[in-house]
Amino acid sequence: MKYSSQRVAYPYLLLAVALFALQIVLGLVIGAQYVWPDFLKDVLPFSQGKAIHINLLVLWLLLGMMGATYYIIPPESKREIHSTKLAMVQFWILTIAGLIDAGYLMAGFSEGRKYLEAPWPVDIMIIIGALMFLYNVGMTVLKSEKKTSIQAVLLTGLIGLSVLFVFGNVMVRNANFSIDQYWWWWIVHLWVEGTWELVVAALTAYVLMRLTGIPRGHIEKYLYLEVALVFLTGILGIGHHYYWIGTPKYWMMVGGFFSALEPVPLALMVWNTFQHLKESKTVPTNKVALNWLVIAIIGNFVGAGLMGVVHTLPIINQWTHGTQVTAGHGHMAFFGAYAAHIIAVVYFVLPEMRGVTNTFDQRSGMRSLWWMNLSMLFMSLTLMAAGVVQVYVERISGVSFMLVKNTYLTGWMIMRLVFGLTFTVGVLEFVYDFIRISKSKPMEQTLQNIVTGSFSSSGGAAATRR
Amino acid sequence: MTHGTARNIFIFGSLLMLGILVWLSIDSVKAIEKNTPPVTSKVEAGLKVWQKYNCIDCHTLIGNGAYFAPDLTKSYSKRGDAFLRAFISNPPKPMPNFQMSDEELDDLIDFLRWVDGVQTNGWPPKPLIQK
Ligand code: HEM
Ligand code: HEM
Ligand SMILES: [Fe+2]
Repeated sequence: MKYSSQRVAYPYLLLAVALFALQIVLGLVIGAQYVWPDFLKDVLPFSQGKAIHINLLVLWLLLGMMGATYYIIPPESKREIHSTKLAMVQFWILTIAGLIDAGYLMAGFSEGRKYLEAPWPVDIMIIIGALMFLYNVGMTVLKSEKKTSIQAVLLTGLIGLSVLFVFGNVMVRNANFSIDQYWWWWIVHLWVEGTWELVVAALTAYVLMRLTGIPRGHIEKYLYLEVALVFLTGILGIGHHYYWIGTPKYWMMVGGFFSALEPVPLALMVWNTFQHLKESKTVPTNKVALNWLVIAIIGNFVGAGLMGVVHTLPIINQWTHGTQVTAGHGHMAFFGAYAAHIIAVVYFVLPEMRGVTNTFDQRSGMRSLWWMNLSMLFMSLTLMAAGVVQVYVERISGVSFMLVKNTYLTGWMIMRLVFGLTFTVGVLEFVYDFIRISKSKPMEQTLQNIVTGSFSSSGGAAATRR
Repeated sequence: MTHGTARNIFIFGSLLMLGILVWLSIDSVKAIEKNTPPVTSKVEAGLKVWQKYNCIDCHTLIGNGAYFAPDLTKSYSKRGDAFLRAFISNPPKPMPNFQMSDEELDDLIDFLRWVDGVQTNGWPPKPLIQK
């Protein structure tokens, strides 16, 4: 860590990890309610548990992206963050917003739109926090001497997602439910299949560059092409949500065509990453960060690309729309593409921040990788399989929804809960590791630096930073 | 392909796509107004009730929502007014009893009737195997 202002990333990442753990607790509760519908039903009805599960998810991912940005922007811009004080004020505003939202949902209130259940004052607080964040990061980048592609892609993603949040929140407030849902997808879809992809693509490029020691020119070579393809396919790909909601028929052509191409940039990212790994001559000391990063890039392709494209054509989607197939895809995509990326960044940032990159124990990080990723893969496969059964028995054969859910689906839901529990093992290991690395002291690092005569903190790659 | 070319494809390609999306969205919103029944003040109040009780985090409507409870797009034509009223006022477990006021219940039913009239391009499809 070269710039002291990078330290403001820590509270963001800490809160992100804490909310992640909490999200999982709620996932277990609503997962159990699928098996035993009366479980905790008077304390926390399913609808409340689900709202909190997905609100926490969105919030911690955004906090993670902000923390990651604060960490990489100083070295990318070769200067300190414009104002660390502003960054801390922003942190507390967002923390309080999160607490108010949690209280509001626990008490059983809601604004009634999925993912956007938070009350409008919380939305305003989030917008204020986002503006402070964009100003702070924007000023730092503006004042930097050399502008990089990584900076540009990262900022485009962050500004884009903020604009969409404001615009979408205004437009969804429509008396016509179909129009409400129409604009709602502008936030949900254009976030995860557009702007968020830019943010993680930029974070990936930076972390990969630091871990492998590959020259910037090589890392940035395909960056614009990748994000160009994300937007070229993903923007009109929104049409895969406009088949059945009162919208015109042409969306079946437009949405089907463009969304079917959405896996292309995600495949390019995987290919490109493996090219870089082959090219890299140094073995990074921080293997756990590299492994998490590679698995996130693959997870993005599998969860979003593959598990998305299989139900994106209208002739298929008319059967699978709003079934467990959707839930299976949603889990693998959000985890593989976004959660795993943030965890990868945490494993890159934390040891570097503590100055223990060369010495920290990586075994727990690797164990958490296997527990979480294998469990999530199995959990989403279970859900997708349950979805296919549901389609066949309910949608094709006409057996009532509740009968199908209480008979044919029960076994799958038990399996989902089992994989939820094994997933939790990985989460516990990760949380424990986060605390452990946070507390570790850079003793041996200091010693090593004295021996080698280098006092600059190295980035995990044996090669020097370019 | 040079770095500059890729960047230009990104900038101008994205703007083009966004432009098309905005154009199609203006058209779509107009089309939705034709494809949906008129929104009366009662329907609008019913939507507020639907949102207030967070129904969408158990059920789906036009296929969006949660998968814990049945899709309600066609519930009005399938079940009818009286059945829905009785069901919501006295739901079987695990659906909560929201203790709605008569007015709220009235508006909600009106809203569900409205949704039933949305032109959904034939969704949900009829089962292939007839009972
Ligand atoms: C990282 C990127 C992605 C994430 C996080 C993601 C997540 C989700 C989630 C959570 C839903 C459920 C939305 C709701 O009703 O609440 C959904 C729906 C859907 N996604 Fe994705 N997705 C991603 C990428 C993709 C891609 C690349 C494709 C296609 C190629 C795709 C195809 C679909 C389709 C067709 C649906 C609608 C399912 C239905 O009709 O019920 N997704 N996605
Ligand atoms: C212990 C692990 C987990 C369990 C048991 C669990 C369980 C559930 C359940 C029961 C639902 C509600 C499905 C419905 O609406 O019927 C849900 C929704 C959701 N969960 Fe999880 N979850 C877990 C972990 C995760 C993780 C790690 C992520 C993402 C990183 C995630 C993201 C989501 C999303 C995006 C939805 C909404 C999907 C949709 O409605 O289409 N969950 N989860
Ligand atoms: Fe989508």
